[in-house]
Amino acid sequence: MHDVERLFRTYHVMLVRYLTRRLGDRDWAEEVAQETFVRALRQETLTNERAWLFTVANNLVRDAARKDARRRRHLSLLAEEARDEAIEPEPTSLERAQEAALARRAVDALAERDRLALLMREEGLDYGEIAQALGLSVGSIGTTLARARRRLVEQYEALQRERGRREGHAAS
Amino acid sequence: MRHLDEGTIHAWLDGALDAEESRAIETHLAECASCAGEVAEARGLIAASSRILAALDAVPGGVIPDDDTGGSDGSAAAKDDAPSTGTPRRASPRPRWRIPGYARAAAAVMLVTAGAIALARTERIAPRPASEASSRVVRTSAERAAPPMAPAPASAPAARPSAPAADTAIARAAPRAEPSAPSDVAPRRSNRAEAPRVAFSPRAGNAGARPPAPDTHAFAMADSATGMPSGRDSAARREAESAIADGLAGAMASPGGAAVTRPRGGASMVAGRVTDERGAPVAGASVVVSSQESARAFATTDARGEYAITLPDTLGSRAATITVRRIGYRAVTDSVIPAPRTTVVRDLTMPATPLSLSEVVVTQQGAAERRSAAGARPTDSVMRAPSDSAPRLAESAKALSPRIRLVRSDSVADGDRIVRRRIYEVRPGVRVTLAAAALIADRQAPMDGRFRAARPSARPAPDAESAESLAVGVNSIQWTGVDGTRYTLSGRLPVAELSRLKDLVR
Repeated sequence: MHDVERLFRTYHVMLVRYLTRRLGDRDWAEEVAQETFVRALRQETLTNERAWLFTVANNLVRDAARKDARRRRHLSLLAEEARDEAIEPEPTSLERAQEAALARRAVDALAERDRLALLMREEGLDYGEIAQALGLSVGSIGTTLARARRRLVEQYEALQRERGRREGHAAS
Repeated sequence: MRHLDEGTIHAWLDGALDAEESRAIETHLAECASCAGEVAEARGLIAASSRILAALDAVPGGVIPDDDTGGSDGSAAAKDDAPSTGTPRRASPRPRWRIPGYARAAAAVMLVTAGAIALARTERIAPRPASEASSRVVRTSAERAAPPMAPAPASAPAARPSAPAADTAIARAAPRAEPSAPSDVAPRRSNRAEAPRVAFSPRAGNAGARPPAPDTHAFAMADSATGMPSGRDSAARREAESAIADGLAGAMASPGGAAVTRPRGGASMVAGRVTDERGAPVAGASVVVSSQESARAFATTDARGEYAITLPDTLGSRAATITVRRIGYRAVTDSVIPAPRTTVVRDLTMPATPLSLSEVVVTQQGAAERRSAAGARPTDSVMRAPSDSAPRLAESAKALSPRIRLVRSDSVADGDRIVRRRIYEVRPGVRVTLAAAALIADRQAPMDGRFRAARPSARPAPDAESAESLAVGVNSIQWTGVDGTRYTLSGRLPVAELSRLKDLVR
């Protein structure tokens, strides 16, 4: 029980990043991550923490899609005054936003298994862990990742070209 | 040795092969130029896909599209104080993902408050079927508002406080089209699917140049999140873009439709009037002009239903969409092509729709308090979050006012708890934090973040209708859980700011 904090500090950032990239929604990602950690802490033992966490997170996302009314949570409320911190919306670069949008489309175009494998690999999971989380054989992960990477890059570049053409038309 | 297949190459580059396999590959590569070429390509693919995936992080994560890099939180100094990310191979800074020191401090404060919340849990509604509970509340408020009023949508637009309550009753009675759809998504979809495109409503009175009403609320911002860059939205956007040509044709054809004027300043503007189907002005509607996934600007209509938006340069003269939203009306989207130093007039008609009130309910209780106390102690709003409390709450907040924005969404660990937080800015400078603490210190304790001890044991499982509500008052915030348990927290919201919270429900 006392390694709650350790577990959280070690894996939370990774898990939320993975989930955000996957879901495109930081808020949802945080939600799933918290649920994942809570479940982890109910386990007596975790043999492979990282793979276990990603597996559970994947299942939670799947369950959420299946059963929409899942994430009921009592929120406690807290008022917080922050008067002197006036909000100035940080101008985000247009280019960066466009890149993100293209990336999202390219990632969404991948088959789910490929996408998950790639996103987990990006968080440093090894082949064994990815295989465990996805229920695949270790031997197939290399092929899965190779396909995912190739398609992602090809898709992204195709979208870039498409955008370039559109802007070319718009400019002329 | 046979030539290497792509999967093996990737596995090798990912360090997933054992020493013996690796040696065999290295030997082969030394004498096979074609495989060496494939390895080079694979390296390129790995690097490129990492870069593409990293670009996803530029998408702000809030349900309410907004920037959450924390730059406005004064956390710049805290950015160096980041915990290990657990992925040592990443060198690039990712401030977005860090939990700054101030957040931990805030968490500590908040946890204390969380305890207070549990203590402040004052009222428990007696067990009863949840749907009955919610309908009773609504019925009561409708009766209070206007006892003889029949639940007919055609009821005259009575004084604002009572109208929503009546509409609420209707909303409760009517089957919800998309009961669980996020409120942000549902209006867009339904808008596209069934709402008439209210482009260039031909109103003779608008032919001339209406001087854009100065709107103090109007402001503009560039925002990477505006577009919610999902496939769904992209499709919608393409649709909007393709509709622009039609829009232009319509503008030419209808003389009263889209008037174009040269404003005094150099700014590009969009202005117009928002009315309901009967021509009555719709005040307090939010009007958002957005373009691609990049920039947006918005304003709120005044009492005459008029708005004027000064567009930022980023919106330039590119095709954009203009969307108007207001509780109790169906959101309406139109296309608009801003032009430099030009005010484009765009009048919009919003069909009233009681159904949209299924997401947001302004209770009669709040209105009554507001009346009796003359603003001294207003209960400003009750947001109904549909079944799925947390994200939907965010969306309800958004539906309530586009000015409520999600500033931050994160989790913090503190000892034996993980606390999930959402910080909203309801007015400039006024933030509300919703926190859900998962109490995990004690294995006997509930571990799913619910304060389960407060639950009446013999309750039927709450259904989607037993949604939660949030009430923001002058110095308290109340939250009703799915099981009817009410939580009350005395806040520290400054009275001056809170009196303005009333505006949120306008």
